[in-house]
Amino acid sequence: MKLPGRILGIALTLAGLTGAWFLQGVSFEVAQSPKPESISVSTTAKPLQLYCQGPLAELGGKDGTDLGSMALIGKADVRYRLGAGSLVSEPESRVTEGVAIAMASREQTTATLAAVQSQLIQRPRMAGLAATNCGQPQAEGWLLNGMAGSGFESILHVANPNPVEVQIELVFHLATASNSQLVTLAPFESRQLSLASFVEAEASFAIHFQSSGQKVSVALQNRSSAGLSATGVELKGPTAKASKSLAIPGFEILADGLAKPSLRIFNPGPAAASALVTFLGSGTNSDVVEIEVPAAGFAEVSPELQVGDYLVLVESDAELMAELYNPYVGKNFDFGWLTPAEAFTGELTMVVPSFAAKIAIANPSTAELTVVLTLDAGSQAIRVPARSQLQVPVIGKSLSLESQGKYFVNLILTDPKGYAVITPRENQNLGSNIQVLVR
Amino acid sequence: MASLSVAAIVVSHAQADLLARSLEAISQQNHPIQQVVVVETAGDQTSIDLALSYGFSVIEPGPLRLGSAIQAGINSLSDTPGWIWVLHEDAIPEPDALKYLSQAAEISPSVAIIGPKLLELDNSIQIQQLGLTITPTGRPFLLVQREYDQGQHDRAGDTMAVSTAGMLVSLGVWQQLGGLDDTTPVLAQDLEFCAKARVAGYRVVVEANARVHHAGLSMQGKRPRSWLSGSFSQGISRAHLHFATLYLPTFLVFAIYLTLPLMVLLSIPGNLLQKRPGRSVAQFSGWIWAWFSVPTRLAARKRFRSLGSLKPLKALIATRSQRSKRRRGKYEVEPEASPESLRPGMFRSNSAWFVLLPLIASIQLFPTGAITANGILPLGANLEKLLPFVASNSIPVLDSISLPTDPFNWWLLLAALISPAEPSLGFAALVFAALSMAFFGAWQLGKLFISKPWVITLVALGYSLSPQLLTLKSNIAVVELLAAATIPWTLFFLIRALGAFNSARAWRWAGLLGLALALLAAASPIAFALLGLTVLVAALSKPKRGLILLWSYLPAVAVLYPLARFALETQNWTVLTQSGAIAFSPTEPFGLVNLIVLGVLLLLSLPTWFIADAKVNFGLFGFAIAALSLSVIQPIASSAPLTLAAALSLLILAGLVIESVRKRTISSLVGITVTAGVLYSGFTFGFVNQVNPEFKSSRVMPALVVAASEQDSNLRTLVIEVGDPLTATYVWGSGQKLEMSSALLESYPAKSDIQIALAEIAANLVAGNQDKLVPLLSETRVDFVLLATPNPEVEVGISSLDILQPAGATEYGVLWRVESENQSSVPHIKNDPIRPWQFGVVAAFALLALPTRASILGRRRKTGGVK
Repeated sequence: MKLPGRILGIALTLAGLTGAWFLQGVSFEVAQSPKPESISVSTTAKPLQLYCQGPLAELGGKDGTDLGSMALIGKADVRYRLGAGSLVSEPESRVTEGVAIAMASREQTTATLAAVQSQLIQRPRMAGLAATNCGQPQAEGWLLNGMAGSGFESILHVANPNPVEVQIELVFHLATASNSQLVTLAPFESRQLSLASFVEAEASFAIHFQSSGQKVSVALQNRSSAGLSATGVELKGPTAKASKSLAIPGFEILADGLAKPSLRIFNPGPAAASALVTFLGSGTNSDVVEIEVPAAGFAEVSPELQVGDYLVLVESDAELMAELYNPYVGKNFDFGWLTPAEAFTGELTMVVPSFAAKIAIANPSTAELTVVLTLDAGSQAIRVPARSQLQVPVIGKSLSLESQGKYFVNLILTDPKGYAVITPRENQNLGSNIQVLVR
Repeated sequence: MASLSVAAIVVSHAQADLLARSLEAISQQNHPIQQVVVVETAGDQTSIDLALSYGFSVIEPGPLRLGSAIQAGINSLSDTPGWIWVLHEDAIPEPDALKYLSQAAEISPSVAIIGPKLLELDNSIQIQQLGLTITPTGRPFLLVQREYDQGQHDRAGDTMAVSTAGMLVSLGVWQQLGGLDDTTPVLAQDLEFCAKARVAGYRVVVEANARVHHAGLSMQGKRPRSWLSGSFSQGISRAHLHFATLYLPTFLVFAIYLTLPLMVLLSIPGNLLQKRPGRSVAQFSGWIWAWFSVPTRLAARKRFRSLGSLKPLKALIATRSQRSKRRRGKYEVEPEASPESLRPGMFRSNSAWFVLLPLIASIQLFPTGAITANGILPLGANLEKLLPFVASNSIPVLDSISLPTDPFNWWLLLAALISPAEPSLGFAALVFAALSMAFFGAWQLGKLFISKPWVITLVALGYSLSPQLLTLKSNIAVVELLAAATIPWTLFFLIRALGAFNSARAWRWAGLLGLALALLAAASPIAFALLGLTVLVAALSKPKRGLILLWSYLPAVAVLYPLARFALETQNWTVLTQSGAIAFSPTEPFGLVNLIVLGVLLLLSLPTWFIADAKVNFGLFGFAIAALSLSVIQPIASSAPLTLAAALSLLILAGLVIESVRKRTISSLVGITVTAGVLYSGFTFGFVNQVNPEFKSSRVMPALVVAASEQDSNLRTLVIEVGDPLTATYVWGSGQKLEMSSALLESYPAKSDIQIALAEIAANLVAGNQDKLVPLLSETRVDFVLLATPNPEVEVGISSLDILQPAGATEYGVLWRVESENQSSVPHIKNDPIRPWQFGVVAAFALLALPTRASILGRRRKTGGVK
């Protein structure tokens, strides 16, 4: 090939490659792939069943000298609110043992059926107000508010509201180890277990329960004492599911200068997690604490806060669980464990025990939220500013809340002789409008 | 001894050039010829004028066949000779030819037909024919063929038949036997006529001293197709069938006619192995011809057998040793004149050791199980399980969705053929070997252009350890990686097919090219488009091999056919650019790394315009430009292999430049720099930021489900994943495997009536409601329920159902077995009538690609000519 031909070849090569370069600007229209659509299916849900644990249990008799004695003491007040439909059997208003409240209903919410139990007790070794939500039995769950060591006692209430035997595996997660226990319950049997022998007097422990068959009802009773004086009692159901974002509304400093509240965080995961705890004060200072939570371990946060009420937010890079211990000083000493609230949208109905009550409505989102509160006296729209909470006194036997957005609530009960916080849960068996994506 | 009266009949068919030589030779015969009659069957005036110029008689009987033409010539003779000498216009006798033929006739009165030694016209030392016979099945058989004439056959001898070209025949015998029968296939006419003479008690001999140079236009396919009523192969096929009808016993004849279709089919693999695919077409046409001309064949048989006993023929049939000698002879070809022996060899030069570098770079992919990274699923449990999903037109989603399975499944089939009992391992091995495949391919390709082994090795390492290829490897982009590894091989096969010196070799390389194109199409249809275009250009540039090359598209067409049909039906052509569900999404062809690599290669390769010839420059630069231009077409899948194709061609050009550097210092410097660059690339892109291939077991469902699916292939499992929304997956058999996926599912999500029923099942399961479940489970044929995401609440709900029998917690989730009797019919994969053809085409090319003696031996002659 002659020189001009070679030069022409180079020119053509460069021109061709430049052309290829310019072609890269060409784009192709590609039709967007349709998103697979889920199918909404409604089926007959299982009958809605709630279970109230019944009265508190006392270990060792009235004086604590009756070794091996474990007895339910007194009566617990059970209040329920029934929507449309009828109960399978009407429960007593004051019960001496655990009681199931059941009804068949296609639509299932707290408006269909909601119940709480409360017991104000005043005994030499046990005093205070214990009130808790009567929730649905669960197949599995966590209890995080165990108290052991000097001056504390934890008793686990387990109940099988089913007509078949169940086995429950209990795993006690301690700071350094874990151990397990298998409990078998006959049909409709309930049992109380002292945890002293399982938790080795550790200050913090978590309990995981899992049923091998039907769902069971589990609650943890805590009692504290100082010397010979009873300083509080509490009964609490399972804590909220582990989440990267938890909200605890209704936290108040109620024993300023006498005892400190404490936030217990548990990391059930296999890797350490970092948590950011924010105490958002209403009209007062806020506080932010960053804390490392070891894998399968605990972290405790004891905030130095001014008197006031706070919304507690726990945010993390891993799914965590939390419970907030809040001491109370009134005529008596008492304490309550505040559980992270469930996020509700739409309607929530709660039964209010016969104690002075106020509802804490939290809005951890960044936009203002309007919630309509309906009491026996009427309804009112409440505007909850972003990342804050409002506490509204409640009078009556029940209340309902409704909002388009997500809201979190805790019901705070106070009495001169005691303090308790009830965390509502949705009462629903899967049945209506189940979204199924079929592949 | 010149008493024999001979008239020459020259049958001519518009080949004036050859006729001139023939007539000249006739005119120079030492034996007197009573009369020469030229029978011009094509009415060619030039030929007629030519014959007249020699003073020979000419007749124009019209387009007669050979027998009638000779008879017309005989009829036109002014005096009746004792013998006639039949010649074709492409037969040029030596001056003594007729003299020797006449002598043979005079010596033995029983001899009625004498044939000369036919030599190749263009190669006068090579014997074309020296007597004809048949095989035991009646196939025409040349006693001597393609041997150098060294006098080794120069003795008169009896034979069954001789060719009509140069045949000296007694006119009396001619008339007694009725001449050549024009209802007989042309290539059997001489055979039949001579055999008739034998049966009638006459002798047929070959006089080797009589030498006639014969162009053999009929055998070389240079006659009009009407002459042979088809191709030469078709002519032979018909001649075979005709003579079998004449010669074989009655029962065998009927058996042959009845089993002809089967015989044609069974001979296809053999023909492909012999790299003679055209012969199957001839046999097919022979079968049709034979069936439609049965009465004519039987009439010929009757006439033939009425002449006498066939016993005289038996002794003259080709012996076993003659036949095996012929078979060996077929594979004796001249050693390739190409510089094959001069080309560097990978093993000869010890360059093969460098494959260790790509192997080391792939060490992360050393196959220890099924690759599961990047959504890659394990493959079916074995070849039998995988095969139904290759080239299928429906995928096992819900109750079988009518979508083509991925073309990439052909690669999975290859993996299953490598490891039939554990295809996942075979696939992992393929992926592991991909860089090495690329290295070997680039080396083989490089040696076609570059002569220095170290430069070729650099080119091969430059390709196999290029940042682009290593990035694909490190990201487990298996589809693109395999496509890129195939590209150099495809180019290599193309160039070898183009340069093959005989058709058998061309067919073999075309077979390999076809398979390589099919694999490329299965991995990257866009890369196939580029190589397909390259094949077309190559075919046009060398039409002699072009027709064979164009056949190499067939396997790729077979592979892409389901997808192409789907694209046509939906008018969605973008689907044609994606080969598999695990193909990578579009990349940036002119990203920074690509720009640097291509820029450096371009700078290195541009000087080739002053070094290599224009064909190489235009070819390789054109290929690179086409590759980069086509790389823009990546609407849904990556076109990364095209960037690599461009890099490959630039690498070879750069290699040419490096090779041309004469100064040792400079070439060493360049070599060291390039080596350092390659090693840097190997380390940076091969070892850093690698995606873990996540080798796992190839089982994707609990052992109980897998075991049950072995017993019942219709087994279905409903896999539930709790979330928002709840997900219910209807899984066939032993679980979702890679071959069951389809890239089209994303664009065309499955829709079926069964979805409602499955949604209801899922909802009722999680709600713990048993009322509706029994009929629904039976209707949908759900045998197992698997809760894939741990959720005790749902688990308890499902466990509370009586119709489900707990089957335990497994690593895949909690499993229940449905206790109801599922009698309902189940969906199944629909058979596509085209599918066997797709496999047939690929299998045919696999046979073509198989190396056989016909295609790879270029042995020097050992027998026949040289002793």
